[in-house]
Amino acid sequence: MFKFKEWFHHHHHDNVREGELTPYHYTNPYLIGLLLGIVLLLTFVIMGRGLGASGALSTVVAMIVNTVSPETAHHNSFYMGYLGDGEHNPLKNWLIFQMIGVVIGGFISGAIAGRTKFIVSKGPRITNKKRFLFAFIGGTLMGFGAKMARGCTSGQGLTGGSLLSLGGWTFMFATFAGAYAFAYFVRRQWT
Amino acid sequence: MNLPLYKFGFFNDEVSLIVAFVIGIAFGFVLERGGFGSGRMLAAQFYFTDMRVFKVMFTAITTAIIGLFYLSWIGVLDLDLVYISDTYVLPQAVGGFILGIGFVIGGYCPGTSGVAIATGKVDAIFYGLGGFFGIFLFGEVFPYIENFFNSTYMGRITLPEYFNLSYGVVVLFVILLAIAGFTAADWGEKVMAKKKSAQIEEG
Amino acid sequence: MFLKNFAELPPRKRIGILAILLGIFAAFVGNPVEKTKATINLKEISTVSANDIAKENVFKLADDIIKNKYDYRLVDLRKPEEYKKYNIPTSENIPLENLLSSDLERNEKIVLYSDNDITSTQGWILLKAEKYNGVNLLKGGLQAWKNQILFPKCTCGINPSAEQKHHHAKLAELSKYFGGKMRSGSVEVAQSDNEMPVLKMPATIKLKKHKGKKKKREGC
Repeated sequence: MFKFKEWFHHHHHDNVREGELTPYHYTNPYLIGLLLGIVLLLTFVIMGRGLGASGALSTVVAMIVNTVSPETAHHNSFYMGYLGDGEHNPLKNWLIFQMIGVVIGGFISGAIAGRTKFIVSKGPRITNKKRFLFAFIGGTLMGFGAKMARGCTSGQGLTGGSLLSLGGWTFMFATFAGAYAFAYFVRRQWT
Repeated sequence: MNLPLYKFGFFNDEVSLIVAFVIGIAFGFVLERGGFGSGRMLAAQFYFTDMRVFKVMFTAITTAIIGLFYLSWIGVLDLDLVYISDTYVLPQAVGGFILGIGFVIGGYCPGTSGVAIATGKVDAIFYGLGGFFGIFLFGEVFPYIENFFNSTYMGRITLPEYFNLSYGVVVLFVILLAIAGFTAADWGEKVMAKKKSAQIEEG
Repeated sequence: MFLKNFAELPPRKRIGILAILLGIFAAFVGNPVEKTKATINLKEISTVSANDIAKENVFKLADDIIKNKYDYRLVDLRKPEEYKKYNIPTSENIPLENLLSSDLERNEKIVLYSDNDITSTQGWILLKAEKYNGVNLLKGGLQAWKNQILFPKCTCGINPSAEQKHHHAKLAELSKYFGGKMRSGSVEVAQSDNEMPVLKMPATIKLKKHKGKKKKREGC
């Protein structure tokens, strides 16, 4: 039932060749979901809060804006919310540290599986340049949407969902709806 | 009853940052194990070829829901002390929809983009930059949309409260929904796999 | 027999059935927590009360305020209207009924006061039952503050000693600082509101902002 051995088996060939999807070297999604649920539960039980991600990005943006042009930052309540009252460093923030951990944890897992390689994740029918453009556009929409929704799939989705928050569940339905609605238009990018 | 630990003063703010770091490592590790470091794998959800986004998220949510319920029931967890964010229905629905579009176009969400960058996906870097830009845009137009952003405030309302059901009944519904959803997802994947192999045979 | 069939099912189905059983049981449990009940550690409460540990006296408080020593939160438990008329400088108004839903934290030092000791003791029990560790009572409450700080009684007799004069001068200074004044010897207790002039916060007191803990973000 639990193929722990698989976790430590070093794969010598790249599992995600450019343009290819080989899912069988990834762990069973239900098992992953169970593990993720346990991590989430531990977070609740230890910290009294859930996971998140977009908040860390927002803090970074606020810091950048503040560095480049402090007046803009200080006149905008949105940025000020992330910069705090100047008493301590806004980067000493739970989400920032969590996200740093996410990057490291992802790297460790990828390294173990031999999945760390500079590639572009895309389908065969599109060029790298176009993919980068779409990635940027997608990211922009994501950033805007995440701020509008006061969270992202980690915060509002996983955390809000497990706490049965009405807003969280609404967000989740809306996210899937939006993604499915637009999947057709970018099918050439992925399939 | 002494969970959540932090809220009962078991450790201070500095230590909580270390906790955040360790939890983050576990989070990122599990995500990458599940293939969430690949935009193409994530996007496959929306073409019905690989429904792991749905499976992972919903399994995780259901597991956590069951855990929260039962830990609270046996009295070791004080659910009142677990932070739940406010509900602003309309902005969250609209924001979610926009984020969903961004998800399928960009191929990631904020958390998975971190994992993807960690494993070398160059496109994820562009996605991350886009994310910063999107947040910046939001910050700039914020004064104009502030009213919408703060509309339809419903407080920290939960599904049991909204539907006037008991917590346990909603837990049961979620579990049933999960099982139904997973059955449908597995079936959908099989159908798509058959279609694909039929296409390969023809082509 | 049923268990044998169960064990033969693939793992996925086993987990599914287990999950459904957990769900059905949860539906029977209904709501896991009754929000109006709490557990009180009787022994702890009785020993602490007896030892006078959790009490703070008005002189120390006045001293801390003057010195801007702020490692606590001073909480006024009275109604907002009463709070507006007069409150001890640096206090915040959290009426008793809002005590548990406020943003007080379990590991902060909290000093409760009200008109007298009764309401503040109620507050103390409530917070202790919810495992707040740093709760103190202002001994004597607002009465003590009025009688000993704002309107201290002149204790000097006909021929005050040097010590008494010194003590008297200190009291006078203290009460003046907070906007009060000394009572003459015949007035026993400063009771009625009519006696209290409109007291303004002494200009020298800087309200230090409480640490950003209140504004801590826990969202995503």
